[in-house]
Amino acid sequence: MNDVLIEVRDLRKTYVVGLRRRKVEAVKGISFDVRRGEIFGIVGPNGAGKTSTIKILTGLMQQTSGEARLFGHPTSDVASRRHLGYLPEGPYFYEHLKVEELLVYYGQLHGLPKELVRKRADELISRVGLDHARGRALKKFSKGMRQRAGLAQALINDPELVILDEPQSGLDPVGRKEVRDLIFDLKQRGKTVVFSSHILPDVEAVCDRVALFHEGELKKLGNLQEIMNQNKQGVEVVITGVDANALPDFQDLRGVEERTSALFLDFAPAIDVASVTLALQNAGAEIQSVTSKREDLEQVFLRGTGVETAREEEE
Amino acid sequence: MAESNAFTKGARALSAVSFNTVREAMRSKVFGSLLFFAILMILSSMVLGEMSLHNEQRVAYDVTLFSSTLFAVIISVYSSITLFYTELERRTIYTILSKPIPRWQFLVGKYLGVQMLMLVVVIFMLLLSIGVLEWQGLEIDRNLFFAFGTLYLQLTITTAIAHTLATVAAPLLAGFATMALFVGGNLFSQLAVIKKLMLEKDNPAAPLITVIEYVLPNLEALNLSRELTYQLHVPTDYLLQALAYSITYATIVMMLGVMVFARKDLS
Repeated sequence: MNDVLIEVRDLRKTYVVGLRRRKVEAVKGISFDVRRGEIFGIVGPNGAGKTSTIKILTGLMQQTSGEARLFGHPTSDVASRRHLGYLPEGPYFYEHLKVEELLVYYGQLHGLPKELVRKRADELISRVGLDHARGRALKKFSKGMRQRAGLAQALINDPELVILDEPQSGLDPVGRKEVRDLIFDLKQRGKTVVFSSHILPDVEAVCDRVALFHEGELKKLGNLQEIMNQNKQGVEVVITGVDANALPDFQDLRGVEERTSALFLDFAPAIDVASVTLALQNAGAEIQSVTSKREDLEQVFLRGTGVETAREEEE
Repeated sequence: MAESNAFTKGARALSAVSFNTVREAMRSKVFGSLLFFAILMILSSMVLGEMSLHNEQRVAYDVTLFSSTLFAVIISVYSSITLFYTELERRTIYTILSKPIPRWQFLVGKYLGVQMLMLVVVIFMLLLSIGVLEWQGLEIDRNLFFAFGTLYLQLTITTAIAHTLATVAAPLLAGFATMALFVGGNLFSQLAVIKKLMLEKDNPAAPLITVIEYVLPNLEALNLSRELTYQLHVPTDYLLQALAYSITYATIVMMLGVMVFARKDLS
């Protein structure tokens, strides 16, 4: 069984717009893989090339050059989509249908027999929490309910790979949590999930690996923890039992803050933690915690898109 | 075995698209309104017949066939273009074409769906026309059935043109262009007269008329209103030729539509 479900090599997409046939390069030679069983996040600002890349992967668009494969098949091949489930951004469905009719329709598009599709539709409607709306036409669904119907249609063929484009867009915090829980549930069932999002805390909470897109380029790619640890911001040591005046002299100590009878010591990232903690203990301090401070994904995002750098230069 | 499995899956997908198209059209308010006005116009033949001078039969045939043709074409063009365009506008097409269904199956499925719808519409209009004629105590000529049959063949071609134009043009333009082609296709005898005049005057544009004659669908040949009105004989081989011509023309037009749609970026 091939462990790499998505292979993208030097993918490019150029749009020709307007009467003057101006060329706009939306995707500029990106390459990445997505492995079986992982949750892979795609983040980036508007116009970064995320949706264009996803549309190429799902066969809705053709690339200008480069390769994109799903399950070893080129994305132009219908076979690449047999084990794929896809939820587009802000999905619309046939308003005249009820949710079960919708799921049966999509199941039949996969060539599945009606009896099997009905059974799966029944299970999925319960799983996404739409039992109460079975008899309602989709035009009477709220945005959150449509999103859940969309997730259900993406799973109707029991796919191995699920691609979700902004699945939490427009949802309230409860809705977002439900989507997060569903993504974790998919991973536990052995599915591979690719999802793009602007909501960075949700990406941080869920993803194993992340790709950061900006202006059509892939700026960062890798394990989420590694990316966030790349720019360690420092080490925080919390101690009790000693006064700030009695602290030894540390070259890398950037600041001391007293809070609720504990001292919070802010050290530069490159300290030797063992020698610092020994020195503090020798000075009579009780070590409460030692924490490595790192950037959150938002800071990585802003740095990767040059916004943070530009702001620092201005300052 | 694998091939028959693939065939079965393909057939399921194609029929799913077709039946969903019929379902979507029938739940549309515009479809209902158009059908209502078609019924009104067919029923008006009863009043118009009374106003004619002992020409009730001719008026009844002309009005029922004309009304049925007019509204059947409008319904078919409207359904073909809006049902396709709505898929693009509302992006429901994203969730369909990301499934393992080739684009040609989607387009052909939409086409077959509209054709199924139009079969029901044409049969309904035929039965209503028969009811109107019987109510007036008029003879039901067998040419009436042939006329409605060839009307359906005209719709086979018109629907194919509408679907193909919908893949390349905005809905209003595609709609007008299809209606224009329908009207043009019913004016072949006038086209022949123009060509004859141009040839007599050695007009260099005369070959263009020949090209138009080949490209434009000859819908006039599928219009049996004259045969119906004057109760002329309709030979069996004509019906077979009409069927073959309609299927061939519609197939070629749909193939063009499939080729264009296959390359379309859904951005």
